[in-house]
Amino acid sequence: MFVHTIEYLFSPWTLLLIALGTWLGIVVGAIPGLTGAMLIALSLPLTFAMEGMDAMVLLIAMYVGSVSGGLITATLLKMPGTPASIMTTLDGYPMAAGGNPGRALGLGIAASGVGGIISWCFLISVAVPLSAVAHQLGPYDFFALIMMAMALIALVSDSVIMGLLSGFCGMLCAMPGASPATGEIRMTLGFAQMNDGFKLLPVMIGLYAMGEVIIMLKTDKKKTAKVNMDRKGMLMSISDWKRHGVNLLRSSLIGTWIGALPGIGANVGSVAAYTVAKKYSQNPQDFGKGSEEGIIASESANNATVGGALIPLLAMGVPGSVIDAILLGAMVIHGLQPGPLLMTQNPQAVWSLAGALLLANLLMTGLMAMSVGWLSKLAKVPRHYLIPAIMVFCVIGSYGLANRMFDVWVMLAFALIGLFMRRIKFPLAPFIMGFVLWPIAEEKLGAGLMTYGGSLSPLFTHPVSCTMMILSFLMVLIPVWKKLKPRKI
Amino acid sequence: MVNHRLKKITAALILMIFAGCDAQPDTTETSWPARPIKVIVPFGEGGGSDIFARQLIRAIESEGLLKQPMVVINVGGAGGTIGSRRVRDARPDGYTMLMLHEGIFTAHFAGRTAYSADAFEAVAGTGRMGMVVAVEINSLIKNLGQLMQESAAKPESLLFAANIGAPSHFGGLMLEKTTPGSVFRFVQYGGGADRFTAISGGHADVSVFSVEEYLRYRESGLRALAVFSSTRLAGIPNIPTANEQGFEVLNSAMHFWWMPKGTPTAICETMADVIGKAMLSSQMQKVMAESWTKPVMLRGQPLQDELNLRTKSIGSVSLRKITVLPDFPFWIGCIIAVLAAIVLLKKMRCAKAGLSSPAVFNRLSLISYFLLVAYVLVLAMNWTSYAMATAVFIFISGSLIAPRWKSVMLPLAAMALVTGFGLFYLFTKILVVDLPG
Repeated sequence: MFVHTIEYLFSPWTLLLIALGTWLGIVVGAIPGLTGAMLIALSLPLTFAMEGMDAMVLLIAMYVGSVSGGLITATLLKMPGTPASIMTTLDGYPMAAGGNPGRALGLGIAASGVGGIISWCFLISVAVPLSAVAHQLGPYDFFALIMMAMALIALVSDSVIMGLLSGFCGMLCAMPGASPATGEIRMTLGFAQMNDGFKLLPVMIGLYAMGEVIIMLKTDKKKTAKVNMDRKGMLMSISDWKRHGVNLLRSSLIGTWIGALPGIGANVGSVAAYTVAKKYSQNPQDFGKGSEEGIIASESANNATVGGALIPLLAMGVPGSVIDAILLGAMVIHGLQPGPLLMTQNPQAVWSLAGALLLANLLMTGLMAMSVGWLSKLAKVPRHYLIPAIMVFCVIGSYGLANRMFDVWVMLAFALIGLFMRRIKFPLAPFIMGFVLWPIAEEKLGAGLMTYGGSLSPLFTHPVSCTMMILSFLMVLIPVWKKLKPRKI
Repeated sequence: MVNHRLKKITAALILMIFAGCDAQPDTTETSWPARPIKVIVPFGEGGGSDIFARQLIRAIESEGLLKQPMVVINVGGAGGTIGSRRVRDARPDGYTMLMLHEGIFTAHFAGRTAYSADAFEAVAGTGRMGMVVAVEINSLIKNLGQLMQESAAKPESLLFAANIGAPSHFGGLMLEKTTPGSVFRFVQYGGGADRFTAISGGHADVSVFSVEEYLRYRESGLRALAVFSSTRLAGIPNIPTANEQGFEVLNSAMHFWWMPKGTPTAICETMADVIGKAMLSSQMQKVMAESWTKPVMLRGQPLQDELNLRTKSIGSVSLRKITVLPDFPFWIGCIIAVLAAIVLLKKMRCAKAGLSSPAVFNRLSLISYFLLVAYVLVLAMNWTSYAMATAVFIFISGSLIAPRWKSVMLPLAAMALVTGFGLFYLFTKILVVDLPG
């Protein structure tokens, strides 16, 4: 059976599909405004005519490519190509702007590859037990977990209070529209268009990509940053591996675990790994200013979520992320019924999918490493070509999400809000994370409250949720307390 | 310099407007369909509805039943109401239709929409998918009788995983109504996969699933107590119906096809013919057999009867207001107010800091922003085609930004045309997305 699987995976046609999917994913992931979910959803009907396995292999390769591609624009232009690479902008861009784009990209790519491969090892070894553990977590446990992620993100910014304020503002912006807990429509100001609220993609494109475009336009055109095209430092040396090994492993583990939890994906994974890396780092003051550890943590974790998210999908038929939900649909169309039976009834399919994931990760690393040279030139493309093209993609990306012009207007409005936030030095990352996490948090909190008849006490009596709640309170309170203490003396 | 730029902008705007004056194709009934038909699926890509719609359309195309292609447009959000509202407001010319299951009724009775099925012309109902009520495999509850007895004896003790306000919630409410005194405690879990996770993790006791979902999760630990249909289902002949066990619940999922109110009857009839023929194709029969869907196709009076029956049965249960949730926006607003006050106080204490960052706009970025707004406005108003507007926009904004306009004119024009028409081709022809403009 293994011979068949390997024969299938290494046939020229399969390899071609994997390469094509990975490459398309990287390109789409790199373009701000287009995401992997969009690519996979739009490609799904095109695969109707294909063999079932071929189609799944292609889609999985796209998934891997798209999570990785985001780091290119995040690093070079400070525009996260996908939500998963928001954390990479914090360190990747300062490093690239400081004259080391090759090194910044190289670290990100290597970390992506390692993250993907480590999570793949988990996928093939512990898929079943891991997804069983994820199953045991109840709504309050999830809520506490998300609270912890929120506390983490507040810590990333310079001032904890500003970080918290920004995070809560993001949460408020996520509220208009249908409540995730009850479906009731609220805060729409009477506009039916608002019934679905603001979607993540237009908000993120507006805040980051459009905001950065406008800032690029404002900055003096003569002052173009010197780009060091030196390829040296791009490939990680042995001492690099030694220095970053622990960080790589830890961030990949965090990413895999968070990816395996249903409903929260790459975004949370990279935030959690980034903050943990900062905590354990010997040079935490470098984070946000071009720290190598920051890039590695964010990129290895977001790639690790791909393998992690496939664990519940292949083991139990439960999608671990939005893209996995689309993949589940694709499997059904192509006659592969996901669930525990898949492993016994069609083991070759499972092994082929897992193999395709590994190959896609390897190919992704290779493709990206080969193209670092011309990718870093992207930062040197004249503005009059680059900026209009990015603007057009921002518009089509916001529109294509749900085929609504409303989302494009939202994107334009949030571009202005983002500029205002930069003006008053209001941190952006907590805002967008509050925005992303609140709907999940509210759904889980709502489910918990409905289960326990409105009582919050189980949140503190169940061991898992209690531990996480205490940790998140401590994480916020300790820095505040530390800051206050010297002043009193 | 500024003057020069303004001239360029005016010229371009005039160009954009002129390019939009193309003739409208005629939409008389005899020539229908003269252009592609848009099928709005009010859910995201890859979901059950989306897959069904795309497969049926594929069958229509491969059988050559229509002169023009049908294009699926996913307008997801707010439980399908964003998409249904768009079709309700669309021109009744036969070029926009909606595929939406019984969510159209549940959204109405859950108070999310003021309109229901009667705001549309019903074209056809396709594929009946059974629903089952199921519990965890090791649950002490073995049949529907025990379940209802338990919930009547201890009201509000059984946790019912539901998608609040959606068909699975109404399924539970209908079940409740069969036994006086029985009350489930409904908990929001969302889609079928999430409801299954809740049950297998022991966080909920019971839920309603479609037969397809049930078959997917059966081996992972799900036990069906009853099917909500009049006869036992082919795929699961050993599961008794609710009626057999003495509870009168009839509930099933069905994909309905709608057109805006006022669409000519002849067009609706033609469309129903086409859908009916596609349903009979071997391709569609195979698809439905694989997903355990009964290959029924309703139109005309039987369809009206089915719709009336659903309106009656869904309308007969009453939704309880969920009272256990706090007013989240209020509390978050309070926290923001407190934090903002702290930040402002701190700012006031050290007033020297802050506001040192320079202005975010200069003239160039402001003009570019407004140009972008103008471009979006042109697209939103459908004044010209997407490809044209995009090419013109790229050209103008590029030449505004370029330091020396003349030297980049040619490459910029080439890039504008390639990007504009290239994107148009890629999205409309290959990815089949409906672009604005």
